[in-house]
Amino acid sequence: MAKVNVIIELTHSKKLENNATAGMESEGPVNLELAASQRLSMVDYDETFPAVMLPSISEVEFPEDESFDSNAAVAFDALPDHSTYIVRGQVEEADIPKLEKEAEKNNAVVNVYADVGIEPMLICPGSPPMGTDADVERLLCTTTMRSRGMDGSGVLVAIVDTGVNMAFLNSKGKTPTFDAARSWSWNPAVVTPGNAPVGHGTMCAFDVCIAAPKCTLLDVVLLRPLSTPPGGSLMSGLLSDAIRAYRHLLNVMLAPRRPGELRSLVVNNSWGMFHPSWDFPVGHSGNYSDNPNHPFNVIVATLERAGADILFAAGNCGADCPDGRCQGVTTRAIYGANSSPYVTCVAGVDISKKRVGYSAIGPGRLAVRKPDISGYTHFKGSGVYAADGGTSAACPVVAGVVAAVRSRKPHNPGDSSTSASAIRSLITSTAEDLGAVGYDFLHGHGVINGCGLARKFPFISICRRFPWICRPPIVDICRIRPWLCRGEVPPIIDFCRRYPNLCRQLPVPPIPPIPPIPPRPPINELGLEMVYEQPEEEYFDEFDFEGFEGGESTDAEIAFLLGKLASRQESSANAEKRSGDCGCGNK
Amino acid sequence: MLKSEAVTAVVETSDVIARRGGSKKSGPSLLSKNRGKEIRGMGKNLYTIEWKGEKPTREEVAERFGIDPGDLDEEFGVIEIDPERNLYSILVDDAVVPDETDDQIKGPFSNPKIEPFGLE
Repeated sequence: MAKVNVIIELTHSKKLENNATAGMESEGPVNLELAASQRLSMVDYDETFPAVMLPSISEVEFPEDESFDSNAAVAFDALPDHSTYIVRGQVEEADIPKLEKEAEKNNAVVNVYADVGIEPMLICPGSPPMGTDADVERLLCTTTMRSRGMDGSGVLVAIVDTGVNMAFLNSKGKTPTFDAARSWSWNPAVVTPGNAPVGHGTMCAFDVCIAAPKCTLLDVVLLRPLSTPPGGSLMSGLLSDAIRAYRHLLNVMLAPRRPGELRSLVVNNSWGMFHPSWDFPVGHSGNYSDNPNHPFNVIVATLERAGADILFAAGNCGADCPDGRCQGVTTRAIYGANSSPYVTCVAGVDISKKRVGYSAIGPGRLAVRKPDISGYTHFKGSGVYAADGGTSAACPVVAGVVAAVRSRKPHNPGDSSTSASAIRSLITSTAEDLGAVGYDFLHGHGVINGCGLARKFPFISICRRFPWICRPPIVDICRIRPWLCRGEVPPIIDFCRRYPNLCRQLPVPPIPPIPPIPPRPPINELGLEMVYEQPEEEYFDEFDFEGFEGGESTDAEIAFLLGKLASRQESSANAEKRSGDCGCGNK
Repeated sequence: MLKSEAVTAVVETSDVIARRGGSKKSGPSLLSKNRGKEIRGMGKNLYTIEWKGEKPTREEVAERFGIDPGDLDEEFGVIEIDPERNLYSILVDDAVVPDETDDQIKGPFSNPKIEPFGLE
């Protein structure tokens, strides 16, 4: 039998008053306290929901003067003994008539009401923003990502859009590197990359910088103002312009590299078609929307093969409240390259992780399982518009996360684990599932999960990022920290014993009995250097620098070190010959 | 060398057509095929052309296409879209495209309007 949720309104009692007061004032959970005489036999009460006081309302007489205010027609009385109290529970649907009779007979019960389910309203075009870019940062765990080197550094991010205004971006606190040389414009004489009017492209750039503040932006100015806007968008372009832009990006990706140079390129595309009438009919060999052989779909696939991570917005033709330009067409509304199997197609959710009503729904036209993933949108962010909205904003939010991942996993043509498809799999496999369990056409694999991705890249490999640190000869401890090598007693810190994770591949000898103090050994024979003999990648990958602290040695550690030195007495003569090379000297 | 390679490609193509029983012509328009006539008159559309060897010039492509070089969109030019398949794209006014074109030329492909996915 189905159960229904009910709200029960009760008259005042001291027990209810105290329970309601505790529920309001306590910071911890408060359980329901209800006298047996106030309980209805058929209700299964929610014991975790304390009583809630409802002030009594009484009508007041209309004043006769002209300054009448309708809000003053009722008066609230918040005195506890004048108030009523509500509690909640469940009842079998079939028992409702019996419940009504029982409630009538019980003087403690004022009334019983349905407790209907409620949901937040869908975000639609024109809705006010929900949350801010700071909320998006929090949801993406950008602080954690940055602490692990996931910040977009060393990664090119192309904003293929209406153009970026770098001065505006900087004024908003976003200071990515700008690469003018590798930027592109449909007509540099009209729009100079980086100096475009503030608009859609600048919003996209801002949203990329939420997760990738240290990326290198490429401004690819594709969309241009329409000379005679026919009541629609003020910015527009042709797909042939996009082919030119993509050829430029292909040149960027395929340009000669310095030895060892790794080049990662993330391409954000918050644009597309709104209606099938813009295209050749489906079934025509020259159709774009459904045709993988269309020149633009071909060059998209080529750029992906070259290693670029390409992201397209799913579009704003969602069934709940589509953009007017969709002309009511909301089925199979992810057209052409936006649904290509070689791109990441991004749907939109608000910061409560609820799909925005205009986000286009799959399946896609070129690949069925589109969209791939959801990104956050409709928040107060760049200030270009009231809200950074549309799947236009969701796409660069995800693109920023991809760029952040690329900081730690740059594209290497010889390594398939760094291919664009591998990164796409990584992004979708770590997504936080939304809606129906598993993949669904509303949200794809779920919302982008920066926190989960950060866990995939636990700590920075110091040797990879700063190879000079690990280049042999590594560190002469005695030269940079001479106090360690001075005095009667040899260095007091045994790194391997104190931080066993550093030396976990080396056998740790047992602690020997304390021997007499031996003569001072040559410095370079100390056990310190074995720390640096570890394979560099494994060593640093396991090493949490945030938790690293020096400290005093224990007696056992000193004993171990002294024992070790004693065992080397026999070889001291040979060691002394080498002491001149260690850089320490006996000071 | 470029041109000779292109010529070789054309000859090879025409040989294939001849073996299939098609008509072998000396000019660049080799294969009788109506390509999306219902789309004609919509302005400039995209075509792809397969071209082995180095990147062809506009003049070479125009010759192969059977049109005047000036009929190719100058701003768009000849764009390589898939190096592995030696595939290039061009933008041509449909009004000048001959009914019969080389088998290696595919099109017309649509050149739809695109717009940003911002909210209106």
